[in-house]
Amino acid sequence: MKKIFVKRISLFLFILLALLCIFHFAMDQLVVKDMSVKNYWLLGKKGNHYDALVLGSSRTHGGINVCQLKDSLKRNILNMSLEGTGYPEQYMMLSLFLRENSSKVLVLNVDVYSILRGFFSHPYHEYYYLPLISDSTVYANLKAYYGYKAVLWKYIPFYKYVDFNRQIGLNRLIKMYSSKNQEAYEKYQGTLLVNGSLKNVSDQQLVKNINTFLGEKNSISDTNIVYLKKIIHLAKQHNMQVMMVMLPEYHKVYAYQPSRKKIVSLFTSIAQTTNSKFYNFENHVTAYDITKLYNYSHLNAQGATVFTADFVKFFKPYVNK
Amino acid sequence: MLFNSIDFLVFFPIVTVLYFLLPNRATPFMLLIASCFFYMFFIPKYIFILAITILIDYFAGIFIEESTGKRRKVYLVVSIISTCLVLAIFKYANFFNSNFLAIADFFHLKYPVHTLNIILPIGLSFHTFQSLSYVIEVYYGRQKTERNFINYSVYVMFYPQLVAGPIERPQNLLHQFRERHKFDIIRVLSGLKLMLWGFFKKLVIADSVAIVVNQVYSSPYDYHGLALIVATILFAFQIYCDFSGYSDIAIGAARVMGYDLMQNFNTPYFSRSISEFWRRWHISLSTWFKDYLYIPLGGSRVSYWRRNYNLFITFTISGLWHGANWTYVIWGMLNGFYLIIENTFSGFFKEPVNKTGVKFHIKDKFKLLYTFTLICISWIFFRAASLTDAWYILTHLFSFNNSYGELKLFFSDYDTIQGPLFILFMLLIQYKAGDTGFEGYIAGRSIFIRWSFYFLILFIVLLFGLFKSQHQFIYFQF
Repeated sequence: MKKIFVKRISLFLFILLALLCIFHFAMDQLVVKDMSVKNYWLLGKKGNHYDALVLGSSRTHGGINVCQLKDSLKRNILNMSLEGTGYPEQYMMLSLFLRENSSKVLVLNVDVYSILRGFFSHPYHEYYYLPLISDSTVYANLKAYYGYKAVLWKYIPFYKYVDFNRQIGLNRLIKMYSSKNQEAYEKYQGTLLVNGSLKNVSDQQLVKNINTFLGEKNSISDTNIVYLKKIIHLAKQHNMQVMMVMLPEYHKVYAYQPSRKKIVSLFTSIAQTTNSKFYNFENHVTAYDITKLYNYSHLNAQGATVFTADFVKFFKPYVNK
Repeated sequence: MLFNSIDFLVFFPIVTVLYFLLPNRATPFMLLIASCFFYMFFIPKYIFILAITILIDYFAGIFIEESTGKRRKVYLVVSIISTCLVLAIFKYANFFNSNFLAIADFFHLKYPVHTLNIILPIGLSFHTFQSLSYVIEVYYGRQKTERNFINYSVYVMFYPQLVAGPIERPQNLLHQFRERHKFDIIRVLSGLKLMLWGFFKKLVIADSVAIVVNQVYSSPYDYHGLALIVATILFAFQIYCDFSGYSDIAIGAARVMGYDLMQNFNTPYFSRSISEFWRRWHISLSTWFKDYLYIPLGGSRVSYWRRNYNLFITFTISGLWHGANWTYVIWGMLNGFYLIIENTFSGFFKEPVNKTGVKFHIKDKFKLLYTFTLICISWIFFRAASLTDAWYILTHLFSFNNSYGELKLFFSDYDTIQGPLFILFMLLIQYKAGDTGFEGYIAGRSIFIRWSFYFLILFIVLLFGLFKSQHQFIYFQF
């Protein structure tokens, strides 16, 4: 009787393992086909040459209108910026992207938030990269931060899809196949323009908002500086010119951002040492016009149009070389 | 330590393996250490409170057995008062404080006592009642004193049921710690299956419907009609799946090691009367109140009015047990009131002879529906943050201003649809299974059906369970 149970349990576990492996393999193939995730849309691009790539967080995701740049300069430009990402994730994305594509110029967003220690709760949206964890670059980057967890994600079948079943699980696939809006990024070459306007607020509310926004996350992170330099170094390795660009925010917040001056001089110093150029647009006209921003730190669609029109002057020499 | 955590996934197999490998005399000690570790995962220093109540009741039991006459009663009363005092301080002090403050304010008097800055030790209400039942049973001579301190401590602290029950009786559990439980593959598998079913109810159903429930009940004034009705019905299933899920995991985990804990839920939403509901819902607590409060008050062997009084008091106190808020008290009172009405019109509510879940008469279906409706109405008070919120919800259940639009918004996301779908799945299984329970129902099928069912449940848990939801078990707050 016992032997029968042992055999049955062994068979059950074997079938379970087989099913987990099958699901694991199937999900790895299917999840990355979700083109509503910008990361997958970008990584799906292979064999392309671009005149310029725009890389950064939400500030450049909606603050530089790449279609406008393309139309005025007749160049092939792609906005690779990813919402809510810091330099570690941007570095990993750029590494993966440049394995299959190339570009002459990198327009790199630099700002206070990406340098501060605790602004992004995690340096990666790790779940997006888990279907690709067998890739050595992805695994090395995730292991550096997540340690043993990355090992579990890589080697235990299906574990990563259980751990993040909300983000990359079956729910995601069901949403993907039932959603109509799959190709939004292609139309706007990765730019996401946002409507809405900042309302006039008192200095008190501003301070409260900034403190909520930044809180205690106001010490400079050496890790983030390292990754910023790694991005620039990577671009240089691929013979790319680098423009470090600081986009305008609502001018009143500058006084409340801790370490701002220190960070700006840090960017200047990094630009010098890496043979790049740093463009600080903090005093651009859009920083003084609340109708051009949708919150304290992001240009809205109108603001992006106005800013991009001025940005072209600085950008043109790079792509015309 | 939460059952739905990686920590438990590591803890449980280690403790179970150790249990079977260690010699019999070492296992209670190992279980005690494991239970302490389990409890200290929450707030470590509160282990001392647990230790104090254990010591009090351990010695009370000995003194009661060795004493005669009035002394026995003195020790019993001292034990009850001191145990309840711990509960009163940690759970009710601030509640009574705030009420006295409100009364003092009303009469423009000064009330000097400040709010105590204390956190309720997790599971306090549960293990307090469990140790109280021990002392009371010893007093009545229905349980011999446990002289082995380790065994007694494990009885109070046994980790599967330490923080949210079932509230065990010493006659059922205490002797099991003296027995040797050999590894039995059938029993282990049975325990694991029950745990799986518990995880399904908690992680897949309870935590996903919580999304909608929390949204509505955190700001009920933004919602009307259908949205309020749906949120209330979903809460009924959230609390059932959350609590019975925990109980299933607890009973299953204990069963793996060979311990037999009492059933705590018996498909309560298939009840055809309120009294039947209370025989199927949180069975360990309702029997506790019946045996130690309702019956000592006179039970039902008294006059009609006295019986109703006993019922009302028992349920009011039961409501208060659940939480230090007037909403819980009203919830308890409402259930008491339901039972009084039912007892008054008992002829109509007499249950049919055939009690299986498979065959329902039309009258049964009506009774099921009205019972569920009444229970859902009482759940409004249980879940609402305040009496004002509860009253708003109650008085706006049939106000259908844009409520369909609100409802559509909830279920536009797949994450919120899955809860109701799996509720229907669960109810179907329970309906088909009837009183045999899902395990008995599945066990009678072919091996292909059995394995398919368990693979299906396992993959549903893996694919749809909210592992990172941060939703604690609801009854932890009691």
